[in-house]
Amino acid sequence: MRTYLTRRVLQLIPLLFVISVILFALMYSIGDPLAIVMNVPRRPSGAQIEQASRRLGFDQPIYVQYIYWLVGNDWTFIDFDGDGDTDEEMHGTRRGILRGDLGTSLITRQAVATRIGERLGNTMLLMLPAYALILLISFTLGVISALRQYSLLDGILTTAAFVFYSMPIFLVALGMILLFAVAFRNWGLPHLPIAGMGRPGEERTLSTLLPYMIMPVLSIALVSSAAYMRYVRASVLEVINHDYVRTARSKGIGERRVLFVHVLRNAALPLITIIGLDVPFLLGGAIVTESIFAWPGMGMLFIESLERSDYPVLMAMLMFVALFVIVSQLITDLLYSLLDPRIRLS
Amino acid sequence: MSRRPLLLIVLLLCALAAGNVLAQDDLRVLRLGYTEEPDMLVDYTSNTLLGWSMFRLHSQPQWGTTQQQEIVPLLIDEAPSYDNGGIVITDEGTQVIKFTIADWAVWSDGTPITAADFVLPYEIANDGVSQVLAFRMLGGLAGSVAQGETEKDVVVTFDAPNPDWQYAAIVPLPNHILREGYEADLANGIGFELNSWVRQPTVSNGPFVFAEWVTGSYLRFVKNQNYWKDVWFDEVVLNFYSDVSVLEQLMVAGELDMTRYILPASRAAELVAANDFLDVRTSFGGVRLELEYNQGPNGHPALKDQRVRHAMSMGIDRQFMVDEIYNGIAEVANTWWAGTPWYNPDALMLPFDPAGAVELLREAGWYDEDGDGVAEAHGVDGVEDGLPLEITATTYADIQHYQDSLLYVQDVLADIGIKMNITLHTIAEIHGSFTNNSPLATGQYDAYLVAWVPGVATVATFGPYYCTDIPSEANPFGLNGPQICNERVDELWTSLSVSLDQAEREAAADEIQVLMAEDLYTQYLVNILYAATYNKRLVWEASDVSDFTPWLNIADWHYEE
Repeated sequence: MRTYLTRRVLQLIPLLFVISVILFALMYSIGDPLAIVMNVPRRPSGAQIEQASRRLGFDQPIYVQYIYWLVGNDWTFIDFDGDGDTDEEMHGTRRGILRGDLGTSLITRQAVATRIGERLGNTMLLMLPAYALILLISFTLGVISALRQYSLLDGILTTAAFVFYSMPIFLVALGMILLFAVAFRNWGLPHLPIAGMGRPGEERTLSTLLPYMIMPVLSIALVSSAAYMRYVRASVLEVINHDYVRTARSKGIGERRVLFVHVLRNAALPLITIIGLDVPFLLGGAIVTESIFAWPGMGMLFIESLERSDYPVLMAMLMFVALFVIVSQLITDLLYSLLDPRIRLS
Repeated sequence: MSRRPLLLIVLLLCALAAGNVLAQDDLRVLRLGYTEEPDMLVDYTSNTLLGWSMFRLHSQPQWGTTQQQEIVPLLIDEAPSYDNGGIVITDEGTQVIKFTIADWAVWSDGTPITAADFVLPYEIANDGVSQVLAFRMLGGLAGSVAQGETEKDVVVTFDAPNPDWQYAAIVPLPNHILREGYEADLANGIGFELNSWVRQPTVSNGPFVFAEWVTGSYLRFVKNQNYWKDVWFDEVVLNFYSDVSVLEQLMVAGELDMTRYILPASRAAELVAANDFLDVRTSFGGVRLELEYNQGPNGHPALKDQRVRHAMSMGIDRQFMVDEIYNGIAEVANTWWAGTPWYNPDALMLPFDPAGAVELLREAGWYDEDGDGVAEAHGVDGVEDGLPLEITATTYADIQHYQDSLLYVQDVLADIGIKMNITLHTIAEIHGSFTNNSPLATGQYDAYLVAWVPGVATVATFGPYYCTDIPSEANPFGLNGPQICNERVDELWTSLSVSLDQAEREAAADEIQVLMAEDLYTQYLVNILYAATYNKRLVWEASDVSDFTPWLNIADWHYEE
C-alpha cells in the first residue's frame, strides 16, 4: 500500500506540471488582460499601456511569464522604464506558485489566495448541504425505486428524475424565485429572499443564513439528484439479483440487514467512482446557481475573473480543482480496497 | 412512501420563510443594484468605471465642473480665476492655480483637510512604484501639486498653459492616516495599489463613509456625520447581482431603489412600462456606437471611396435603431461630440434614403448586374471588374445590443446591395494590442462596430484618429486601428489641447466635426444613453457635475414623504 501511495503521489508532479502548462497557454489565449484593465472612460495612451504592461510582466514572452508564475521573479530585475536596461532598484516581488505565492489579482490587486479565501467558505456553505441533500434524496428514492421496480411509484420517480435531469438549472432556479420570492410576496405570504447571503450590516448566523440557502441548495439538489437516483436504482437492481443476496435471504437474515449490509455496500462501489469524480468540482462552485442567487462563491469568482481576463485568479482556481480531482481519484481508489476486499492495491 | 419527510420539509421551509419576514427598521437605507462590483474604491488606483465612479460617493475634490465648464466649489469657498488672481500665467510659461481649502472642510474623523492631503495623491501618482495611470492626476498633464503659504493653501502648477484647467480636480487622501504606512511600503518597493486602504477607505470627506465590503455580495457606506451639509439617507448599500433578470425582479419587488448604467436601455424601458411605480431617467455618458471603416491596406477598396461610405450612411435608418433596438433610450449621432455642448449642428447628417444610396453606389461603379443581390465593381479605378461589394465586420461578442445593431446594419445594407459577413470577438480581443493580433489593431476586418468614450466634459480628451497613432510593431497600442488619417483633423485636435482661446477651440471642434462628417471614415450611429431605473419613491436629481459620477448631490436624495 505504501509503495502504491508513493508511486501515485510521485505521478502527481509531472501530471500537475503538464496541466499547468496547458492551462497557462489557454489563459494566454483568452484575451489581452490589459485591454480589460485599461477599458476606462479616458483610455490611456499607448505609452501608458506599455508601462503598465512592463509593470505586470506582460511584455515578456509567454514562457518567461510561465516561469515567473511558477518560481516567481524576485530573483530578477525589471526593465521598468522600457529603455532596454533592467533597473537595479526595481526587482520583482513575486515568489511563484511553487513557493506558495498564487500571484496577485490583476483587477483588485489583492493576493489571489485572499480572493479565493473570501469565496471558498461561501461555496462550501452552499455545496456541502446541497451534496448531502443530493445523496440523501438519490439514495432514498433510488433504493425505493429499485425495490419496487415497475410499480406506479417507480414510474412516477423515474418520470420525475427524467424531468429534472433534462431541465436546465437556471430554469429551476428562476422558477423558484418567481414562486417562493415574488409570487409569495405578492400573495401576502411569508416569502424567501430573492438573492444574496444576508441583509447588509446584519451579523451572519445560521438562522440569518438559512432562508438565503433554501432556494440555491434545493435547485442544485433537485437537478443533480435525478442522475444519481438513476445510478443508485440501476446499481441496486444489479446487485439484488446476485446469488449472495439470495443466499443471505435463505439463511434467514432480515430484509433490512440484507439491504444495508449486502445490497447497498456492493451497490455503492460504482457510485463511489461517480462521487469521486464530482466531489472536487464542489470546490469550483456552481457557476449558474451562484450567479442567479448572487451567492458570492467560487463559481461567481470564476465568472468574474473570466470576464475580466484576471488570469492569475483563473490559473489558481483551475490548478486548485485539478489538484483535487487527482487527490479525489486517489482517495476513490483507496476506498475501493476498503469496500471490496477482493481489490488489492500494489 | 411515508409523507412525513415531505411534510417536514414543507414545514421547515415555511418556518424559515416566516422567520425571514423582513423586520422594518428605522434606518433610511438607499439600496442600489449593480451587476458587477468595483475593483477598488480609490480612483487613483482603480481600473474600472465603477471604481472610478464610487470614489466620489465617499470622497470629493476641491471643486466639480459642469459641462459648461463652470466650477462648483465643494471644499473651497472661492473658485480661482484669472480675475481674482487665483490663476496666473508666469513668464516661464507655466500656469499656476491657487486655491484655499475652507476652514469647515474636515475629514469624517473630524481632522481638518489640509494641503498635505492634496499633495499625497500627487506624490503617489509620481512615486514611480504605485500603479497610477498618468491621466488620474491633473488629467495626465505635466505639472505639480504643492502646499502654498499656509497649510490650507494648495498650489497647482502646470508646465504649460492648460485650457482645461477646470478639470484638474484633485480628490484628497487623508495624509494623517496614510502617510506613514505609504512611505514604509514605498521603501520596500510596494505600491499604493497594494495598500488595503484602496478597498477599505474608512475615513473620507464625502457624504458617506465606507463601512463594509462583503466581496461578491454588497458594499455598505454610512452617513458621514462630519459632512458639511445634512445627508438624508443613513446608509447606502450597493448590492451585486450578476444576473440581470434577478436585478429586474428585485426592482419589481421594491427591494432596490435604483440600478444605474446596468440595465440595457431596452430592458429598462420594458420594465418601466410594466410597473408604474418605476421610472427611468437617461443621461449621455459618452458611449457612442460607431461603425469604423478600415482605410488600411486590408480594407475593402470600395470603402476608400467617399461616395460608397455616404451611400452606406444613407442606407442605415438610425432613428429606427433608436426606436426599435433601444426603445427610445438613445439618440441619433452624427459627430464625435454629438450630445455634448460642443456639438456642431452644421455637420453633415445624411438622410435615410435607400433609393438614393443605390443610385450613389451606381455612380461610384458598384451595382448588381448578375442578379445575385450583391453589387459588384464596374469600371472602378484600381479594382478588378466583378469584385463583389462583400465586406467583413465585427463587434463585441460580450454585448448583445451591439450584436443586434450590427445585425440590423447587415440587414439594411443588403437592401442596397452590400453583403456583410459578421464575426464576433470579445471586447478584450477587439481592443487588444497589435502584438496580440487584435482584429482592430491589425486591420482584419473591413468594418468595426465599436464604442469609444469621447468624454462629455472636455473637448481635449484623446482623439483615436491621429495619423501618428496607427498600430504597428513599433506602436502596438496605437488607437487608430482603422488607419483613418486626415492631417487637418490632427492639426485641429492638437490645437484643442493647447489653445487658451475659447473661441479658437470652439472653431476647431466645429471644423473637426464638419470634416469628419464629410469624410465619413467613421459612421456615427447612436449615442447610448445611461438609463437609471429607479423606484418613484426615491426623489433625486441627476448631477450635471464632474464627468460620470451621479453622487455629488446624493446628500439631497430622499424618499418621498
